[in-house]
Amino acid sequence: MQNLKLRTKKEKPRKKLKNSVMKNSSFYLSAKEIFLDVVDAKEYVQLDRVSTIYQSLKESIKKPLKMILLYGRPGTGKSMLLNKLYEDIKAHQKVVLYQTPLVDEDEFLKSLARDIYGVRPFESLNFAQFNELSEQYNFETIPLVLLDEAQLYTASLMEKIRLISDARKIKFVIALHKTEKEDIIAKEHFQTRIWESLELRNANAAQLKIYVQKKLMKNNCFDVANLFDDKSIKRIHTLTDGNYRDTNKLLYALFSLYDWYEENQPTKINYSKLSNKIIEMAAIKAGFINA
Amino acid sequence: MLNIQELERRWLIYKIKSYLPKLLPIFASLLIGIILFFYLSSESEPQENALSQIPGVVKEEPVIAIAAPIQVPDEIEIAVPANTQALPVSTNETPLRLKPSLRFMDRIEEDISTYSTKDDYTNQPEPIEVYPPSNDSVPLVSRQKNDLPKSEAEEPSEESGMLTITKQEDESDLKDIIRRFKTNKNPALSLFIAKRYYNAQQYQKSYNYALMTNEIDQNIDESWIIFSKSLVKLGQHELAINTLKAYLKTSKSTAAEVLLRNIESGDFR
Repeated sequence: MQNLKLRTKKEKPRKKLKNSVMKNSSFYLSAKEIFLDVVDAKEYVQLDRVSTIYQSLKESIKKPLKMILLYGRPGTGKSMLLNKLYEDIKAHQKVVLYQTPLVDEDEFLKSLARDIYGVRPFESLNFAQFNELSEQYNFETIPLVLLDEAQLYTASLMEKIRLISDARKIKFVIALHKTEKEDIIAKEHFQTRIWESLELRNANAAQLKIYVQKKLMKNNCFDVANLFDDKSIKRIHTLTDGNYRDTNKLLYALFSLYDWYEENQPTKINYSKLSNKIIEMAAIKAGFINA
Repeated sequence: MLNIQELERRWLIYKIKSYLPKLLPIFASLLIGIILFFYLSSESEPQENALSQIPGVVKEEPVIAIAAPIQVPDEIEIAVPANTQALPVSTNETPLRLKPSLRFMDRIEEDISTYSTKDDYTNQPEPIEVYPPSNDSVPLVSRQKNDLPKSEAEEPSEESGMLTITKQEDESDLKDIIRRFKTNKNPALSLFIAKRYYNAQQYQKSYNYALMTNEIDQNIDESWIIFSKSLVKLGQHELAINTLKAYLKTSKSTAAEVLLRNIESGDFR
């Protein structure tokens, strides 16, 4: 059974990250690399709410379904959750993860034919031809397709996806941004066809503290993890609103600054706690503070 | 490449910007507080004077107790006793606070009309011969001169070598001052009137106005001096001495001490 994960430029493999952390002489350089904005299921941090949603998601895909919707604001961990799901179930069932949307309908259907049925049509593949093809294959467990950034798919293609799921030939888990400007979930094809919808939200201060510390400790940066007290976490939470991606971005900038100070002006570093000044400087550098 | 200096500069600007909205109300409150403080402190002085004008309100100041209370009649016309007549003095009694009757003020205006008919205050300028004052009274006399209105012209007499003062009194001015005093009870005005009467040798009136001045403000040296000098002129030497002694207990007035010595020694009569 061959499972496919289509990597994009967003996903940078962090091979031997732990080794590099161990080898880095700089106290803060190691911490900096941990917060590189990459989607890697190995870096998945178990948090109460995220864990609950993940378990719900795993339960949902076992049930007879049409579509499962995973939504939330950018940076709330949707892509990470899809990655984690993909990594966890790929050994047990046919699963395909599309991290980048295939906006062209023909390209989308050809990709499905190739990745699920192993067919590589040389010519174009229309929807009727794809249905004929899918009728020829029967799987013990219905194949699962994970679609990230689904808000970029056209309405027409979303209708095709709905029809495929109605035929119960493929299950879809759709992750999309719910923005304040446009409520995509309110659209008809989501309203009527969704079997279950799960919302991911930003972390609160307590969850953010666990997230940061777990992430550091997972990479053996225990000393750095101890620098984060409630006060500094509160400041970071205020700056990033508990958004995981923004937090990663801020902490990357923060440890870049600490690394510089350690090399050039170590007397300015307080090794027992994080400096509010450097947190704010990192926020200015990362664009969270307009100064 | 990190530009730390630029980042630190931007951070400093950010901190200043973030603290400004918090500091501005504080500075504004402080400024308003300072302005209010100065405004209220400038207002408090007139309020104190106003308090003294309210009937029944007594300023919390040390009251100078005169050991020998004067039997001052209610009327402005004081029955001046003969030199041989002694006022009843009761040293054992509790100190009596002098309270002049203000009824005589009603007669002041009438007096003013007659004031002009008197010999020493005629409408027509009349040269008055003033003998050179004694050494002891020089400071008082010279001070008195400064207080005189500019309408008074001094012309030295070439013939006799004595001062000939041509008084061009404007009775309406004095009347106006008395009216103003009745209105606002300003001790400066009553002192001025007392001085004028004293210089005009109307010691009863100068005594009364000095007494009123002392009632309003007990810390004016000149008022107590005029008061004591008027008493001496009225023949009340002992009372004048007791008054000055009582005043000197609460004041270190050199002029009062000098006057007391002069009265005791008989240099001032």
